[in-house]
Amino acid sequence: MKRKGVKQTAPASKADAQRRADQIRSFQAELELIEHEKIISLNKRQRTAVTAYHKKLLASLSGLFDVDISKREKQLSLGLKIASFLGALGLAASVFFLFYQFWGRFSVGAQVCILIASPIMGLVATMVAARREKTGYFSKLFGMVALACFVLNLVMLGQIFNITPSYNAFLAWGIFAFILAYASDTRLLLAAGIISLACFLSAAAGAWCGIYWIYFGERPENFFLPAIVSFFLPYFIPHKKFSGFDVIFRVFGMLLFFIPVLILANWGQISYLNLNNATVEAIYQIAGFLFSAAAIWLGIRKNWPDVINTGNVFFVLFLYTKFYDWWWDVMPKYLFFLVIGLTAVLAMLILKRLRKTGMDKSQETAK
Amino acid sequence: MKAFLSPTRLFLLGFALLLAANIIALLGVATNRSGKPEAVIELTERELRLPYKTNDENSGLALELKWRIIEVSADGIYDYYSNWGAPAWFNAQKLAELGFTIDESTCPGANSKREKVRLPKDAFIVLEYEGNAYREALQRAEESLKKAEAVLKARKKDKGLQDRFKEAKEQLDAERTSASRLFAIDAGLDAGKLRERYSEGSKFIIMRGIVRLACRSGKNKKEVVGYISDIRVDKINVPLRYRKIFDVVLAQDTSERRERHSPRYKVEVAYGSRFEPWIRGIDKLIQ
Repeated sequence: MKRKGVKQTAPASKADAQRRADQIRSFQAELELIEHEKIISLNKRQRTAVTAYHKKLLASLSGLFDVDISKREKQLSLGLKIASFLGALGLAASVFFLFYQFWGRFSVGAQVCILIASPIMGLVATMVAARREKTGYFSKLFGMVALACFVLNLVMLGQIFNITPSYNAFLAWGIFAFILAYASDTRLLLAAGIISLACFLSAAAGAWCGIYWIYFGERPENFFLPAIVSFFLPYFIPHKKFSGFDVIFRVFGMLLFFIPVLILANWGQISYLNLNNATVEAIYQIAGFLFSAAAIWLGIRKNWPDVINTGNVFFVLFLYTKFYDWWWDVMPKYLFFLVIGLTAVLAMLILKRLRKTGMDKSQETAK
Repeated sequence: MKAFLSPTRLFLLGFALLLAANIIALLGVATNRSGKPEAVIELTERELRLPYKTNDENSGLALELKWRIIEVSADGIYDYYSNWGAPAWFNAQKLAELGFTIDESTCPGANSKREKVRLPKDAFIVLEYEGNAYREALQRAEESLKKAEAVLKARKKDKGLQDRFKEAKEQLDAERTSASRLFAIDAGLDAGKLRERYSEGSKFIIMRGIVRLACRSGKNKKEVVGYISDIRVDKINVPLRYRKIFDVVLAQDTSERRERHSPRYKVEVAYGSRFEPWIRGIDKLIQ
């Protein structure tokens, strides 16, 4: 019976496992408090059963995902995450500069061999680390280095053989980043993959419209398609097995959508829309407000805090850029900032009211 | 889905991707360099310069292609022609040939609210080496010096005119000895047709470039002009086997930044079927 219980609640990813371990720790602390306050008291048999169940479950989670069981372990894990991220950045930069420092001293054949070998070695290191170490810190670090080596690989081949730059390189980097991200369960690599593929799709869209691809950023509408794909992908293909991938897809989808909208809301000259520039700006300003509000609504409805927060940030950005347009030149600065402060207070009051309504509803449901 | 995303499969896919990307890149290089080159041209330090500033962090060396354009002559006045002006031949008709839409709304008035940022397009650019364009630049420099000399003769003590004369002399000297003789003279979308028109591979190079439309204020109204924003491969890597000559040349330069010189080396450059260059030989020039 107990074993069955453990099996039924087995989490899909490390993040889920960590959430479960945290939940157990909170439960134990709360139970201790409740017993101390003499609200309830478990008998010996019940206590032994709960303790044994939790012990077994934690051991199983620790064995499967190497989760942090104590607070101290959690703090150390955070340190490891930061060190792994900094290490990846440092090693990637080191590889880059090391190659530049010495590549002029090698023959073309040696240069090509080194360039091809370096991402392969990075990939082998990632593979070995992923198999040997459950926490995944080293595989994530080597994965980042492998991606940096692959970027260097194609860039330097281009320089050595004077190859005409092509946006297809973004496709190769994007796919490679995705492969590494899924193989080593790394959100940072997933973000790199999303950005690379967004650049590829935008450049391809620009090239199809007859512009030179490197200027794809000068038509921000090119980013809308990758933004939509990124946002809705986890909705259709759930990523429960991977830690936080759904969040990364949604947040980057929103960034790829709202940043271009924000730019176009202020600079209509770079739009594809063949309309009066002021009309283009007005369209994107309205779109910015509507879509950020819609994102907040969707986030609340689906219980996606990442979507709510990103929607909030962009709603505020659209609002404040509009305030700046309307009042910065005509208002004294103290009045302008007073208006900003008052709108923040107003937002606080609205959110507080919404929170109270939500709490009342949940209390009614509890009754 | 779960089985497809197993780490082992993904790593194998990663290896396959790395190999495929490198094979595609190297096949492209082999295709470019196989068969008869599209053009083989001998350029000197005037056209292929060493980097303006050397970098201790980068041991690699690439020569920078220096090309120029001739703008419409304003009363025959010589100005040093770089590559960022509007070439005289790059008019509305040429822009239309390159796929730009030219109509009355292309260059609206200064207060137009519909004007959009125009984006550049891909095109093939024809560069002419030591041809009519260079001779015209030389002739304009000589005329400019003659004019400056004539004006100075009338007012010998005028400091401004003395400076102008000195400058014109230096410019003519540079035009004769150190300035690039490579000029952009035409552009088109069909490299084959351009090669038919400019068939001499040792004199004309066809390269991929980026062209842009702009509106310039004319006498009465704005006029449409074309610009060459860039040549896509304007740096040519120097392989290790040719490095020795450049190390000697670099050692001669005492300052960190390159000064203007009469050419100290000549380079044989080949352009392949994908219009990508490579160095075929380098010789030191006796000064």
